[in-house]
Amino acid sequence: MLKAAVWLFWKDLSLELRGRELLLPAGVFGLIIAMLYGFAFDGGQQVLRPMFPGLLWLGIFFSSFLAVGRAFGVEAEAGQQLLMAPIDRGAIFLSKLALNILLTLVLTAVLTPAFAMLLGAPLPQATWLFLWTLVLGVVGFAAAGSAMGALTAQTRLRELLLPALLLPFTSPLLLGAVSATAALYAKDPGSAGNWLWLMAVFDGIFILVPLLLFEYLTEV
Amino acid sequence: MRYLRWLSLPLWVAGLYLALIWVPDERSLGVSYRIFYIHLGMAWTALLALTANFVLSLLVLMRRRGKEETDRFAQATAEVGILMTTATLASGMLWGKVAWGAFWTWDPRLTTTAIMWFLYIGYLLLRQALDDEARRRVYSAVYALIVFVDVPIVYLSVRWWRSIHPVVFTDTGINITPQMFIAVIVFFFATLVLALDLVYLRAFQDRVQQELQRRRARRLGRLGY
Repeated sequence: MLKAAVWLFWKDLSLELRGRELLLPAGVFGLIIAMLYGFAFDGGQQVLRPMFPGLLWLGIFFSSFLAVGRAFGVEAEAGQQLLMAPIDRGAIFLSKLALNILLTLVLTAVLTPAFAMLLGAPLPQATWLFLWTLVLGVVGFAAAGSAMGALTAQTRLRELLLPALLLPFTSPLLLGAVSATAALYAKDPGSAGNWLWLMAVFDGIFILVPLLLFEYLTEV
Repeated sequence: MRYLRWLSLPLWVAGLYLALIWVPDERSLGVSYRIFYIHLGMAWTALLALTANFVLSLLVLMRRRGKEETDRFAQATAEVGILMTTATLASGMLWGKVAWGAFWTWDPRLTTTAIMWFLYIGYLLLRQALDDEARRRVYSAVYALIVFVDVPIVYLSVRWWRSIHPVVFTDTGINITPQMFIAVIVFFFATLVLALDLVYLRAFQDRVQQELQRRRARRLGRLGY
């Protein structure tokens, strides 16, 4: 199963490297969000600083959401030929999950410094904890996005339905990520620990549960 | 099951009598707290309906036979669950305006209920967007399972975030008088019986609708369409 997953991942990655159909629009969208924040909340003022964790994570979620929704859409448009391959169906989900995680990590790596610069907020001092926060938040979003992407790929109105399903679903993750990031700015960065655990639990559950259920989706 | 309806009516009359006339006013909240009986009954019924939706969705995936009928009830329980959640939110907001001075506060229960409401609206949206019946059954069942797992995590996260909602059941016992407890229980059964009746009615309606569509298709086929 792993071998097939790696090959499928490689297929999607080379597609993305050739066309850059996901990262480029999603990244540009993220930067546009940062700029719009500046306009909407008067970026010259200091008021944006305390809001920075929330603004950053909304930016990351909204732009990632553009990228993760497409992963299964590509296969749906290709007429589901992938299902004819003699491989474990779980491999398909794993490869899409890996692709989504990679894409969202790259997006986050670009957007986080960009948001900090444009909104005039310093990044937290606790670098390692901050990196963990980013990774846990992004992996969870990619996992939930893969699950919901798989569910909506076959529907009419795919692009319209996905945010309505995905964004309420990831609300605990958003709360965790924003609270953890905000805690890193406080005197005691260790208070972010609980939130990091919460995000880790979310990540674990929503990698495992959709992986177990994915088989059912491919049978109909 | 058709007799449920006749059980529901006297239960509602009894529940309304107990809640609005029989129990005394509350010391600090006065008359406004009486909405709480309706509120709590609906909230419990909503949770039960959505739990039933989870169990039925599990059955849709696991059992080989009777998928169509199980799915019908899964849809019905989700719809009734949403209806009850909406009523819970609405009654809670009215009470909140009187007791807290605001329609909405970001208390864990309110926030969790609102998110849950959106998640199950998503269930109906997903169903609506899937045309193929077999696919709709399985996809919505998978969605229902994933969402049901999410709800406790939502609650935990929002609870860590903040809290002001009154708690009726605590570790030390029940926070209300025996008289109030009786009214709560009667009202709970009234809403529960109503919800059951609605679920059966909805499933029946869906069955009829499908049968009509089938006959219509057959007839059109005979006419040469």
